Amino acid sequence: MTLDRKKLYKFPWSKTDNPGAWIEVTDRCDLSCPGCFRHRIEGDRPIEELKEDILLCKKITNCDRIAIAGGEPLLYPHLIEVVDFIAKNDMKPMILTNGESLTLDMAKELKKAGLFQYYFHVDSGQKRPGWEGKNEIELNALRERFAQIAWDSGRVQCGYNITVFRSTLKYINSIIEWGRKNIDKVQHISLITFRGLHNDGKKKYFANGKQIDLSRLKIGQKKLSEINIGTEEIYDIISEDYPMMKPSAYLAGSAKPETYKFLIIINLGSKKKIYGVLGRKTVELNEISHHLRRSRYQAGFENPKIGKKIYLLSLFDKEVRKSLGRFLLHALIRPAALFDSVYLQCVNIQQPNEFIDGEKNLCDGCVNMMIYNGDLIHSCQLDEYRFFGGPIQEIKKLE
Amino acid sequence: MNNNRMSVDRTKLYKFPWSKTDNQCGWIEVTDFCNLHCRGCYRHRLDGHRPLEEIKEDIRRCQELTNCDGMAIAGGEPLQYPEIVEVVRFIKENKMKPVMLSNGVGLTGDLLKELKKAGLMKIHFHVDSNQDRPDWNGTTEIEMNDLRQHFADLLYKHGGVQCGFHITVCRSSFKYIPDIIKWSRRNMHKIQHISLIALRGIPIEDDVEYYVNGRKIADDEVLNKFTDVSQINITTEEMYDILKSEFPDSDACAYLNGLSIPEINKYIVIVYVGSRKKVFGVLGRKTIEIVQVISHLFTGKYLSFFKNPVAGRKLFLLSKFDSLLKKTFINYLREVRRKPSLFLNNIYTQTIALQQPIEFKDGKKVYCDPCVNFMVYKNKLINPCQLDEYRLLGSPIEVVKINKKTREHKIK
Repeated sequence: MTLDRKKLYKFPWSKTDNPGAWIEVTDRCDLSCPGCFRHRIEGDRPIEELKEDILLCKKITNCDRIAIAGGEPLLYPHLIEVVDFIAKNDMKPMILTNGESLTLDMAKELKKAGLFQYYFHVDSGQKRPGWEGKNEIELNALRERFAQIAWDSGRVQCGYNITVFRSTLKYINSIIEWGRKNIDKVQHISLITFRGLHNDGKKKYFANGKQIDLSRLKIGQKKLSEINIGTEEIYDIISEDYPMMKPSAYLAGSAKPETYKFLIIINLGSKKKIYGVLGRKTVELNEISHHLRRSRYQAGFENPKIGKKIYLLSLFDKEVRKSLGRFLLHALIRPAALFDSVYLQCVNIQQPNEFIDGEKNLCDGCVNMMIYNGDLIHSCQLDEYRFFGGPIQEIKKLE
Repeated sequence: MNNNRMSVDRTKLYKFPWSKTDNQCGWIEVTDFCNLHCRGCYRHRLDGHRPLEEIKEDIRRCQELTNCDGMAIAGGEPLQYPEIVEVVRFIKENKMKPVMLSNGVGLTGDLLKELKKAGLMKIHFHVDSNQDRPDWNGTTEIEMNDLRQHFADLLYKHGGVQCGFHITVCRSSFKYIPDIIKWSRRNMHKIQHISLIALRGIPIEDDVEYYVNGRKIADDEVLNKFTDVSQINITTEEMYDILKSEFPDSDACAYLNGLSIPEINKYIVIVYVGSRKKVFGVLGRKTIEIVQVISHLFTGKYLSFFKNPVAGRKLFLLSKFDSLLKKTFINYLREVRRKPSLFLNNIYTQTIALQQPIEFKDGKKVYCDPCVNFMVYKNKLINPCQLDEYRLLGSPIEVVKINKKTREHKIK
């Protein structure tokens, strides 16, 4: 199925007016995930340097949220201080973690410091101790455990990053189904296609004018069939089982504007039943009204427990109108539904950094820009800078 | 940070919401033939006039990819293209606003009428003192204002086609910026747009190497090269400073940044509000934001320019949200009290865009984020400023700064 762009909202984000930014506190990690593009080089970073980077990031990107990433941030000794510093500077701190060492006590402390959101990276490629050989369906139990910790620590928002492999495509809808059942506790699911570099022997790689050895990078030398899953392929799988899950917004590729790097679907419903999705006009209204009021774009929802007032937008938005219809029909059968809380949940299909026809296809409006040596760079390219002094380029060997 | 000057405070500016796939304007080149040789031109004569069918295909493809509201017809000199009227008509039929970029040589009243009938909505005339015009003896930018006035009067007389000017700013003409703006401020009803575009080029420097497709290129392969860097390093901030020193009311409202060096201001936009010959002030960031988002919400496209160049007094309703516009409104009321006949005058806006085009700086190639003029070349969306790098070298020129301080790491 091909998507009709006319029915999607292109997020208005750019480098200097962006809802998100990124900071890495350490490159140490306690897992080794197959799609990981980060190498252990420097270990924990000095807290003062991080604070400088956070302020510079805010100044350049005008961001609303900063993702604290790594490595595994929970291993960083001054994590609380970082969270606190971001919150005190009027931004929303978010942690990207594998959750391995998260305890309820620690979660409560993070909440106290101002933590806004978790993104837990949980998928079957990680081969976690104790979860070896478990498939994506079985891992929903682990996801539920983390969701509960986030909830118990004071209803901190909860999201998941899930790397999607050829072998796990078949489980996508089980994850979606699990998410829908937990719409009260789960605000976000990112399905991220597995990426790497594939050299068929006909290409050379350069950085800063010099030819480089790709094997120094973890993402080098993957099989083509493993790394060519597209966002639209995942969307097709989802819409087979959930035809009402239509995307409302997107980000395009920087080199290939025809590609979808972000495809956003926003579920609307109660814990008992999902009624539909938000359409493009609602997403657009949300972005622009936030920007008009606060002079910056918004990352995620301020309050995912949106309530029935969302149905007022039926006036402008066909999808919301359909949801309202389904809600009212359902209330005829089960009148108690009128008293159910109404939530939003974002499903984001992502196609990360990749080479297409010799061109690097980044997200146009990347929400994860970071500071490296005083420059704003794409976080997915950090190790290209750390190893080679600049981003790598792919060049077809001349015949 | 590259920029310690405080003349431009970004927290008071609106970053335009445009991007590659949701942009206000597209770009089509109908010919690379031209009857002038302007300093700063980056287009080579290679193909001559392009086949009409190919042009139409590219226009449709550009619209499909960029969702553009306007379509700039450029070149070369579009007026030299035999089927130019048909191109304008095609753009209009496909529900875009045709804008022509022309040097104006050969524009007669009759041709203008025909273009207007076909749907042309705006002409941006490239007129400056570095064009070596055979039919014009003027040498300074002040004298060039007479030629600009001629074009502005011509369009005004016929009506229905808006008028803008592109002016390349060189070191030699930099000091005349206030004179150009002084002139344009007296023509608020006739002129809708002025672009002041810094002279561009690729600097040849000792510590810089250029590559195409992994191959290092020799200095003489570099297109549009300059050995004297001081000729091509005029910034938008410099232009803004000189403009503000002469006209302190010229506060900017919006900007575009550089793609690889986001601290650079590639576009600084100032919008004057005034009656026919008098400027009352400017509008601010919230007004420009409201115009862009409302347009997108209701038409699905970002606004390239208004169909009607007369804003009218209703514009002042927005002063509730915009402190700069409020100041302008108060100034307007004061002027009307002094001279009540002003009240009968209409209210116009005029956009001044200070532009710093493609540049090479600190070992980086810096594009506009986003480019507002994406074009289709061989079915692919590219920046027009790069077209001749594709045509002559096969790929864009990349820059590498040698001996740049980097923090390269070894694997432990």
